[in-house]
Amino acid sequence: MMSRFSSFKNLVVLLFILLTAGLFNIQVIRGNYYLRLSEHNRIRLLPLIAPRGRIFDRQGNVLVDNRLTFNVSIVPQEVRDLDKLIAALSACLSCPQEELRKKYKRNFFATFSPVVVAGDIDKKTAFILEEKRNELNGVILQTQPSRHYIYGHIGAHLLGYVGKIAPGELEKLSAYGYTMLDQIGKTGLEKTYDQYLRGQTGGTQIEVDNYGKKVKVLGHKEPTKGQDLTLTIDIDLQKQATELLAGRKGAITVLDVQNGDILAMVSMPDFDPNIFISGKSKEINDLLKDRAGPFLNRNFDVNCAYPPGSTFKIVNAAAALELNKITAHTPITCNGKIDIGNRTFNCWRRDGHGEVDIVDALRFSCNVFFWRVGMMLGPSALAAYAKKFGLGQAIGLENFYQEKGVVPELRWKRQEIREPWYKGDTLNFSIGQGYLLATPLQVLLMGSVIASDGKIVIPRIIKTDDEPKFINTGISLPTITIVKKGMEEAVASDYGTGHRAYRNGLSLAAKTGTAQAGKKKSHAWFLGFTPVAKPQIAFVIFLEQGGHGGDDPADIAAGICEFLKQKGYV
Amino acid sequence: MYKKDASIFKVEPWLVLIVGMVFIFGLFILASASHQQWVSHGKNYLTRQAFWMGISFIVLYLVTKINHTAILSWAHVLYVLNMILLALLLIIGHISMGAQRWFSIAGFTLQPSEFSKIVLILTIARLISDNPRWQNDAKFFIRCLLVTIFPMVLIALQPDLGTALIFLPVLFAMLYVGGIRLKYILVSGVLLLLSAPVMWHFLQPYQKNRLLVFINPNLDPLGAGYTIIQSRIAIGSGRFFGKGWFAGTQNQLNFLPERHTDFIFSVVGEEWGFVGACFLLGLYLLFILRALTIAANTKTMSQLVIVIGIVAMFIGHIIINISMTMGLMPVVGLPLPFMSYGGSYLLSAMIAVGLLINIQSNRF
Repeated sequence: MMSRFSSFKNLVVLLFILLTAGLFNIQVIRGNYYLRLSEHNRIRLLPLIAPRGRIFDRQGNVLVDNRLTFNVSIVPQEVRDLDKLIAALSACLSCPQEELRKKYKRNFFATFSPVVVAGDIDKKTAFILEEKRNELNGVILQTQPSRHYIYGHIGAHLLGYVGKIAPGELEKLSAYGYTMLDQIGKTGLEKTYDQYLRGQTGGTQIEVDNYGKKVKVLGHKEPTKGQDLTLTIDIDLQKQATELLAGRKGAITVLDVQNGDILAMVSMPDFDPNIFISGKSKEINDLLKDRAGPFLNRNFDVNCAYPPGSTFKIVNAAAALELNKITAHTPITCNGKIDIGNRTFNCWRRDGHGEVDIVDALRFSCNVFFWRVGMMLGPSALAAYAKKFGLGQAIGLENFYQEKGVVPELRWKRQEIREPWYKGDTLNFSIGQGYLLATPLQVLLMGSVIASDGKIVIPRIIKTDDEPKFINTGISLPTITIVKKGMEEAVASDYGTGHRAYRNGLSLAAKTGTAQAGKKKSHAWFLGFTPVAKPQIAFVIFLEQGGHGGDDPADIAAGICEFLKQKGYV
Repeated sequence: MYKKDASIFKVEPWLVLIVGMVFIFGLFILASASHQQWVSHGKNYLTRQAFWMGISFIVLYLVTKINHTAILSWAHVLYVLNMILLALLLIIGHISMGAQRWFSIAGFTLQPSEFSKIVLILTIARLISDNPRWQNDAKFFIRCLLVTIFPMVLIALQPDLGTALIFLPVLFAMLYVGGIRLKYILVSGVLLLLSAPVMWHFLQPYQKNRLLVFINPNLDPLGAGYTIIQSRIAIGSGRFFGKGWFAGTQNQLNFLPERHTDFIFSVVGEEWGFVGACFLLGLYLLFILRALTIAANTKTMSQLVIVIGIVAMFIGHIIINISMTMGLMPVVGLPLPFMSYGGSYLLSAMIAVGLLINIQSNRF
């Protein structure tokens, strides 16, 4: 046992000797080498930012790209006289010293890491700085890929924008490899597909001499490119739809009902994502303060649910037919009003539509007809069919957070509004008013049921070879056919509410809607699909406080249909 | 034999003196290392460390008063208690730096894994004293292994690979000097090496990264590799006499969040040079040799293995920590005894010293 003890003791002493030898080696033998390295900190770390994946439209047009920008940075540990340097830089960049100083303080990360004090400078200035390199000790020019939104404000809501990562985001995402220097998508596809689009930052560790010139590369890690994204969007259609909606508040979505591809999705007002790249704070602040909400994607964002108005009548109609409350020819007389209890509800045509059947009622969007039918159905049946048509849920576009809207029911009203259900509520419900709320996207999917002969078309925005997905509603074909006829007549017939959209050579079926919005001007809806015989494209046009569904939206609808025909979609 | 209430200084002046000197030197080093944080964040590591040093001396005194054989009889209870704390920690620990290693109590952090080492030493010593013919008992060996591996795994899951890894050398040292059949140690050593590829899979990505980077620091010039390179430069650039107190180019290690803890030796090397580093190593060597003398004077087997275990624990920390700062070993979180900032480790180290003094005094 004593020998064990001795051998243990010897081992211990040996370890100490080895350690001392190691110290002797690096401190005495190679001490001067390390001193030189430590002096003026001759090791510099240059991150190489990976180019972000590009985004394309369905035809392969580039929508979002990267371009090279020049940044002016200061490496703190190489600065000998900060004040003199800032003064000299200020002269070259014609930027006030105070601003440079502020940026230096704010962006400081570590003494070896270059601090960006001026971003996106033009080539001429870059060359001047490069020439003056010897006078500006500690300044380096860095090239950095910068996001470029080629079509500016077109498709802004869908594409989103990128920005510097915020501390809160960093806390959550550092486990996934995000660092303080990273850019991250803030909204839209840039955000939801950020991990897919972003590559991996690389870097170089170099040894530099007294003048900051590279002496040796100590280590290098190549950055990995991000992956590209191809959308179902057709940029030309998107441009056209954007122009048609210009200057108004509202939303348009165009959907291919055969596979769920979203061909265009516009929300107005919008913004130009490029302002976030150049960092024009005044413009950004103005946008943030704008009460009209330019960052809202009115198609499905939270709080963008509105009363669908008469567009809901197609659900009412389908329910009534399926549940055998009426047949295709059951006549109901509309003499302009209906009395329930001690209240009178007026149809939008004062003297009434006369005797109408369901097809007529859809064509003229007769309120009295649908009130009567709605009373036959009752709120539970209406709610059930509303849900069957996809209202009250978020469908498709899984990576986006959608507003679910509201489908009112007896129990719901008791819980949320704390009141019992009144007959008046049923009346409102029947014509898409009252507590019922839906987003433009939901209204579109509601219409897609009719366009696709009974299935909810699940929308998608990323181009894929996957099979399109649908939700079967189980609604019978005869019912669909009848509703379709009503919608066809709405455009084709002279007195149809959607007749303003009629153009020679276009085959379009539609349901208009004019939703009361309290004391303000009504919301205008236009839900349509084309061609009527075998529908390929469905779309929804929503104008916030836009008046009547049969007015401006109808013109826009015609514009879209003409474009679709031109492009060969129909 | 010493009188029952002889003061510590009569009993064992050397250990206390050496530890005291390391403490004082440590305060000088910490003052410089934490200066940057003090200036920019107002975090006063220095006074906190001095505070803990004071507390630890009190703890030292208390431990020397306790009957160490009584402690031994509590060994199993302490073991279970420790396991519970470790398990609890995994569940509701304080998340700091992405790892769950601390409990936060009344503004102070408590690190159970530091005390696990002492508890393990006591537990093994207890097992040995309960089994007289243990040296040739293979089953006993396996039992010891299991007793060691359980807390190891819990600690490794925190994740705290460094502290977990020290358990095995401590166990082996204790058993080896105690006289276990050499075959057992050799066989388990070989098995350990063979199982290395399997263990690799269980490592966290950043731990794998650290090992890879150790082999070639330039693999990751932006992260872990930078730390190692900078630490070595710092130490090397101190040359023979060092750059002087507070004169280490703080810039070098400014970004190193662990500068006042795991990488504190870099500051020693840079500011006090080869001379200072050898001075510190010399103090540590004196400490170890003194402890080994105590080991040679022990009367019972359990006393012997306790001392050996404590020696192995200190050696492990010292060698691994300093090698790490020199770039000779992968980066693992192991504090330098009596120098690195951290209350828990100070306390547990002082408890260990207290046990040494206890045993030396042979009062009990």
